[in-house]
Amino acid sequence: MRRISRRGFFKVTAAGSSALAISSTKKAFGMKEFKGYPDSMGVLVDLTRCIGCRTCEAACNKEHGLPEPEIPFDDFSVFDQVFHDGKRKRRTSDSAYTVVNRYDDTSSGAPVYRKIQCNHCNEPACLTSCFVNAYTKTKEGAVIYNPDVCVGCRMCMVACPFRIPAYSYHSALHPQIIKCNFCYDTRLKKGKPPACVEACPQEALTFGHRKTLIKIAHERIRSDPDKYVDHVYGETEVGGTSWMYLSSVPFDQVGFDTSLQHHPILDNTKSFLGFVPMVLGIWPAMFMGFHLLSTRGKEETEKKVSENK
Amino acid sequence: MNKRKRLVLTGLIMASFLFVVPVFGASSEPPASILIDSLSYLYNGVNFDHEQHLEVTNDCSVCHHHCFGNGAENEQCAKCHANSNGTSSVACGDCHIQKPFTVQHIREMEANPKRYHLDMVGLKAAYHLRCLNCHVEMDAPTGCVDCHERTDTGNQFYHSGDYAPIGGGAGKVHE
Amino acid sequence: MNHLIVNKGYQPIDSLNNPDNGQKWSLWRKLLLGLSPSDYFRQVLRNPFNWVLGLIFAIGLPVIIYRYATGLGGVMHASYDYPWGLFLGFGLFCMVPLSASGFLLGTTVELFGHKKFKPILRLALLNGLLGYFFAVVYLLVDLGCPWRLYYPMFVSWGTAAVLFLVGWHVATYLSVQIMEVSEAFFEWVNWPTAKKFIHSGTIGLTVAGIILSTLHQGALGTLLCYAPGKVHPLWYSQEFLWIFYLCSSVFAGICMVIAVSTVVEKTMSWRCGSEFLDNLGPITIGLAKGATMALVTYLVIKIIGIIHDNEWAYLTTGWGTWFMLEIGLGVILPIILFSIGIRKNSVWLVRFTAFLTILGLMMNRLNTALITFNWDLYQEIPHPLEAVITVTIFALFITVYRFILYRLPILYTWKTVSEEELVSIADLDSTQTQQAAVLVDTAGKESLGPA
Repeated sequence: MRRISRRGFFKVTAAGSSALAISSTKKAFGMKEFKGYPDSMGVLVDLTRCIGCRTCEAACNKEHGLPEPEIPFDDFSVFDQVFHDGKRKRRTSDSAYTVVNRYDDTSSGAPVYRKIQCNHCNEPACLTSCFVNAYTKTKEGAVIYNPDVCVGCRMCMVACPFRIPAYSYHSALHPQIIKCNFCYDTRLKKGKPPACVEACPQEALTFGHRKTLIKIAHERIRSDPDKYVDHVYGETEVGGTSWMYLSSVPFDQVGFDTSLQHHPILDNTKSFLGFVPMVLGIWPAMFMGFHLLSTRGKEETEKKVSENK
Repeated sequence: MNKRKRLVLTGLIMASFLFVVPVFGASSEPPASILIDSLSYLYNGVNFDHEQHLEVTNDCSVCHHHCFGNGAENEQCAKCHANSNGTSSVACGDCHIQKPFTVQHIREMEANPKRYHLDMVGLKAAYHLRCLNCHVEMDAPTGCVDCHERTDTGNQFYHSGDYAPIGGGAGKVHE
Repeated sequence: MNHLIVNKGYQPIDSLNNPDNGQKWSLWRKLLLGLSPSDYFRQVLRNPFNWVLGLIFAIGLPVIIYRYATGLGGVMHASYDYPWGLFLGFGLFCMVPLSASGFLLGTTVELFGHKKFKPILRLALLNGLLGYFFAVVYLLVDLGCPWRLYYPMFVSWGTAAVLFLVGWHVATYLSVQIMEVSEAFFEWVNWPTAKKFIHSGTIGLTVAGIILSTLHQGALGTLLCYAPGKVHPLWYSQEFLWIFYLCSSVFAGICMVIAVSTVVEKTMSWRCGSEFLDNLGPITIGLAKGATMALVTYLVIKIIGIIHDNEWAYLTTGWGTWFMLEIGLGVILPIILFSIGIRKNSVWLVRFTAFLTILGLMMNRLNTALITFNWDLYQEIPHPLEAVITVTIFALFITVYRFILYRLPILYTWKTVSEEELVSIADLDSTQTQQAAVLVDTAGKESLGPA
């Protein structure tokens, strides 16, 4: 039998156990699901109230010192802009944390306006896919980004089911992800509502605790069932988001992805990640077993051959 | 009648008006126009033609809802509020607060679910929702500057007017 | 080089000492393939392939500098909907499975004891090492902040992320592969102690290699599970995508070995030892058998994937046709051709099929990560400069590959002369030394080493 050298054995054990040590930190800390921090804030976006005045866009631009827009914020010709052969309306960009779009083809016949921004999910895909921990879900509910550790792999942009994060591609030395941060540094931390919420003249944006907002949303639907579609978008989508929506028309008519799963994106990787420590535990013994089984016969034959000489 | 008696009679009649007018003052003499400017910042105040709106609505409670104790339209509300009293004031700002999303107000709302059982908007939204919903139905003006002019701060805010980007701004509006 | 061999009787270096004078080759000489600098330079210029490489570098290297000078926006569409392009689509997603040869042949030879494949083992290991190394090079071009490449190692850990696993495993596996290939390096520079040290850990390294490879080949597939709605359902599978990627890496690695060995046999047979060349035919057929089994398995599990998610309806769509083309050309046709080739012992059919399989694998990876990504949104073709950079780095990969193959004992066996023999040669008087030198010199040709 071919003997494994002591060195070889230690190397296998070292490799296996160090890999195991790394992998054990990859498990989701035993927690099966995270339903959001209990005092997490949120915003309820009531599309029946939005009139497309774009004051929220202007407020956001001012609050964060974003670049001057190409077109004034009170110019509504932006609603006619389409890209990529008409398949895409405006989206968030490296100079706009939020945009408002108009949807004309609705079942009510009237145009419906929708404000788009980061939804600050409970278990964000961006956060869970980031391998340098650049995102944090604060207890106030904001999902914030740290540009000082970001490597620029753009995995978060692939992962976000709402296609929100933008990237400053044209910066050679300081490229970073650009997205709404719930006005965390300037307002949320101090208990103030975000700039867009404060600016909205119609209070299409209602700020409060996420749990309360869900109650308010269902109460609005209950009080006026003809006015609203009986669904609060973001209540359960991808595990629940802090920014939720009410609409007067079916959500897929106003640009929402209604095929999204109702559990966090992270769950999609758990079946593989759970298998990782199993491989680390089983593979060494299994392949050493294969090795011993397949080489045993050959060594015996070799011994016989040398004996017969 | 002699001159002195005529004077006393006129005086008595005039004095009676002093008592009459204040009693019916609240419902009989609404101001013809009001300057609504408690929130003016991006826009100047609204020169509100109260008299015209009274003619059009012919019912104070169309705008000053929940103020006159004249029952509830919504059948959900009427279950409890069919016989509720009116309020001592009809000013919008006495119920709809200017800053509805402060920590204190949110806490107060959540602590008093019976008092705040229907989410009530702040003052700015109260104006806009009540005014614009009707204006849309009645084909009345709905543009922002139709009711209130932009201030200079407002033009800066919207990057509009004198502050409009010349030849396109630095940022991209689209992808 | 062929010109030198035929006309000038050049003999490639394959041992510690210069056979003409019994002296050790210097490192500088070894680097220059035993030629004088002017001869070396002349043979570089004579080779038309080097002109092609030169042209690629002349165009590509300035573009790469431009990428770093102006940021990614200069060479990509700066798309927020399509954050990944060819650098990751080809450089990472294609090159990593094609570099699976290292752990595959390592396991076959060292763990399963199939010594028949030993002559090709080092080539497979080198293929694996260079493939992963250049995958990292592609990553350095793609990352927004490449100077922070080490951040997931030492600065900030996002341990729930699949990329975290990929990063750590690629780094660890690269180390494992460096150690495995270093045996050849230590032979070449004559550090026998170092070589022995590495050799003693071969089993450990091989087992570590297969653990790490199983996991990160699978992890690359799991990366796409972060975007379930964005990848077309026929290519996506929440439960099985990682198994698809792992299984396809098996035949991809094997076919890459066949492909590279074909290129090597045709373009640098002067560098190949007899062990390599004589056994290459049977080895190729043997490899093809392994590849066929993996391909059949892959076909079965792909069908299971369709059944599991009930995706039959998609097959009738345009995307479905594309899917069937990929499976047809990349899986079914190779199964058929390999089977015929193996039965008829036709090395050339097997080789052709290996190239076809590689194309099929690339199709699959590019489809999953790039082409069917955002399938219900709009299609975007990568920026032309992305293609330029991708080709340039691949040309660099080939250049480095060739550089190492010309020198290190990968394709040939390094002859080591024992110390006793060295002493005995030195003891002979000058005429006897010359006679001994003639005997050592295999074909009596004039050599180009120092007189």
